[in-house]
Amino acid sequence: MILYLGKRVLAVAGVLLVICAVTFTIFYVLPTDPAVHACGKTCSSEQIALVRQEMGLDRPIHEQFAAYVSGIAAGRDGCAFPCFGYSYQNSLPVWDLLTDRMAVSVSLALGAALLWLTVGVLIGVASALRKGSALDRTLMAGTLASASVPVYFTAMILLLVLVQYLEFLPYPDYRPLTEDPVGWATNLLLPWVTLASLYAAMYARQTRSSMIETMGQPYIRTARAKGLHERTVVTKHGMRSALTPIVTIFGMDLGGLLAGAVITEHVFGLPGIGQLTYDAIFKADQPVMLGVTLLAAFFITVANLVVDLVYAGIDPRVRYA
Amino acid sequence: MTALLQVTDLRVTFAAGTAVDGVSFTAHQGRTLGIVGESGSGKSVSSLAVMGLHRNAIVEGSIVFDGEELVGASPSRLRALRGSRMSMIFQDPLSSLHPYYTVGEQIAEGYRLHAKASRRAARERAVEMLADVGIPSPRARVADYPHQFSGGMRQRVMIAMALVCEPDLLIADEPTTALDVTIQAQILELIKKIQEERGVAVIMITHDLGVVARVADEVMVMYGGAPVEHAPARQVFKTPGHPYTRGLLDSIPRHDLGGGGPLQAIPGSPPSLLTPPQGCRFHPRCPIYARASAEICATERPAFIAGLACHYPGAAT
Amino acid sequence: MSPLLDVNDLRMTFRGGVRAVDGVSFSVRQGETLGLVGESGCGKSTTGRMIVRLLEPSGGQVTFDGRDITHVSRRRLLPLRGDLQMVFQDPFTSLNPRRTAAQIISGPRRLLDRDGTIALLERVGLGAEHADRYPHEFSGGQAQRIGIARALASRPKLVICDEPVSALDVSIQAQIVNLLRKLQEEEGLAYVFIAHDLSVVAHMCDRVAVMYLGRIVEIGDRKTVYADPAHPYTRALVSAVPLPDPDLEQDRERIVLLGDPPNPASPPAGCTFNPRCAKAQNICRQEAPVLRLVRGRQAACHFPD
Repeated sequence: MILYLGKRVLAVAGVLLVICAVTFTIFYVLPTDPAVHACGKTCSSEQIALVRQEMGLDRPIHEQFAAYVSGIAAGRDGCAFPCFGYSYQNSLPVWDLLTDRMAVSVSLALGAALLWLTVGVLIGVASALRKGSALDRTLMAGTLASASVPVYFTAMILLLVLVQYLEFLPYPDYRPLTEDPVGWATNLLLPWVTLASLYAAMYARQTRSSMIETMGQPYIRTARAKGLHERTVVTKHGMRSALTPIVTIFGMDLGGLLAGAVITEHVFGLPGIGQLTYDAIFKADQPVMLGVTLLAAFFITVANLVVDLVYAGIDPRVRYA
Repeated sequence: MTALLQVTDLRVTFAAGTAVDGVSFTAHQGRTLGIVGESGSGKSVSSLAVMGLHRNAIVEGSIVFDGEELVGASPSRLRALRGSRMSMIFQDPLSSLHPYYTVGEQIAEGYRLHAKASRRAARERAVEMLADVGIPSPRARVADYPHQFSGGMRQRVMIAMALVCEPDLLIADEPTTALDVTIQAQILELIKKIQEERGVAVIMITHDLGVVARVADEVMVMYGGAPVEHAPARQVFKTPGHPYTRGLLDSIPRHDLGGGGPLQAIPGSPPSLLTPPQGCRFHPRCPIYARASAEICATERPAFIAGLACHYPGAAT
Repeated sequence: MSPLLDVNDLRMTFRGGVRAVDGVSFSVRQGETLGLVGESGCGKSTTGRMIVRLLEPSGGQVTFDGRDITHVSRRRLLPLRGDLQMVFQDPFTSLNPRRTAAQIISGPRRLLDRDGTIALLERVGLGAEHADRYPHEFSGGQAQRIGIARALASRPKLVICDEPVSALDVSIQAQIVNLLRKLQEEEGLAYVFIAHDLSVVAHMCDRVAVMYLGRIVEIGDRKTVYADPAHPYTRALVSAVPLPDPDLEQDRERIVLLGDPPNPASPPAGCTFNPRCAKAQNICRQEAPVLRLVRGRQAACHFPD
């Protein structure tokens, strides 16, 4: 078990290093000159050359890469561990930018995840148990519609109806959980619903098909043959197996969202990592882009590892090897 | 002798069609009824109806278990009987056991429900049951998962699970079909031993006439959703009355008779549930009809009289 | 006359060191049927798959029609493919669902024209009306007939039949057994007939090889082996088959083997059958017996019956 975990952690580190190398190379070969961006529009070519030298851009790529990686691992002169470099826009450390905004993205992702998981699974199970009924058809038509509507559209409609006309909710404005828990929740409710409406629809459909398959398994018939109440058959014997594949996709989806939901954050003006990504792309702020990419890769690979561990806990046939 | 189970004129209809039409049989304490038929004959559908396990079907007729009518009984009453007074084991023990729970949990589950036993007592009971069905070192294996057992051992677990509440009726639906022949012999011995010790009534459902010959006191042969012949086992095998029974017996390869020669096959295929043939359902494949081409076989369904559903009783032997 | 197929010391070791087939040798003459029987996991199907090279043997030699085909390249094997065919257990999963019966039979290389295809359909007991139907429109028995026709289209000399009737109903089983026998007589085919059902094998085969845990434990003439088995495993296997006769079932001596076949990843030392054998002595736990002549057949046992 320890050995297995060790191997997996090493593998995660390996994957991250590869992603780092690939991303770094892509940015290196891009035609934009970071020194121009960093220096500003009025710089002369001598000034740019000076900046280039200062930023280490005149050194060969492998040296730059080594410096970058060792900076992350141990920090480098003047830039504390973990050093992801400095933003071209405001010269702030990328790591500080990321940590400042992480709370927003994590709040958004976790709240939405809780919502979509509950709603999606409930709809899916209800639909599966009444397969072919009017309820099933209505729910499935609803999820299809919900999954087809783009996030920014849902967001606009919700803003228009709930905020503009009904004045039911405030226009989202992020409040830290630690300072104002109620404000935190009321302000995030709209983004949560927006994001969850898309995912809940997909989860409902997944849960439904998984549940239908499970309820057709011979061991469900065995459970009924024991005289168990149908409620027990569905929850203890059915859902336990049916939700196993849901765990897998949930881990991956959540991992991806922790590093920012770009569109949702942008539409609601939430100062999260998604918003940071959005700005970095438009300003060609390469250190920030690199940092965001690595953060996303980190969350996804770790989520993957966690999913595998959880899976082995659920399914006794899966063993660490 | 009063019957433990009396099924009369059972009819099971699904959205797609009628799978069982006019099935009657009885099961007695300490005796084994063999129900034989090919795929689609309705043998499994009938037994699932007895257990009340059909969910999307209309079940008509009468199923009287120990004096109590089960057709139309409340779901809670059926649940109280299922697993406690009547139990069932299935064909594929691997897929019939839940992969995520230990065999001990799965055996104990029914006992805790029906006998209102504590967790600890149910676990002790599971160990006892595993020992009874011949699983070595039961105290250690009770915490193992189904995938850690061999096919034969899994079927023993299924049997332990079925017997945990000391049922009066055990329905075995093709219990050895998925098993190897040497393991099949073990499981059939076990079922026989259990019957002798506990006096349960057994309904053995199988496509294998050899299995029936080994275990059954009485045999019902089904074809196209209804019985065609029902008689004591010796009679069915020695003097089969229905041309289908006759044909089935002739088509079985026999290694003990020297083998080598061609087999007497029944031409054609079993009827489909959706479009059963008019008249006697066996007539398109029947040698009597082919020979005499009696019109009545093609137009009128033969009544089930004196254990036989044939317009020409006696012609087969 | 040299045999059509000669299998010599064939071995298959899967990852993890599981010796699925562990030194199997036999030969098949032209027009002959050899039955390979045994329980699940004994290596009979793996052996069949190695002969047609669906699996690459780990060791040993397969000689077909005088040529060593054990490791020949796929391209060199192609001309031989026509002579060496296979019929599978599940007719539905082994037939392409998007091809009609006629397309399946004539194959990607269009071995037969329309008339030839229909003639072949008729020979396997179907008709011209079946030519343009898809596999799902057939019953199990009919689909298996298509599988057989597909195998016969290239006029093979040897057909490996891997459990060809075990998925079928009893009454249909007999039809297919009879069909395979009829085709053999007409074409002079040789079969390797792989099955777990000893009774079916008894009706199909001239000679029979009984396998246990990757090895042949007894091989010989069908009548000799069935009537008077020399290996205790064969004896148990034969006695375990239920017979459709209550009187026989009551009277006959039945050997119920204890336990399960051992795990092929860690086979017992000596004779692999010794943990389940009533006659096992010390030598059986130490030394693996080799096939030797016992009363007119070969058996691998230190103490043959």
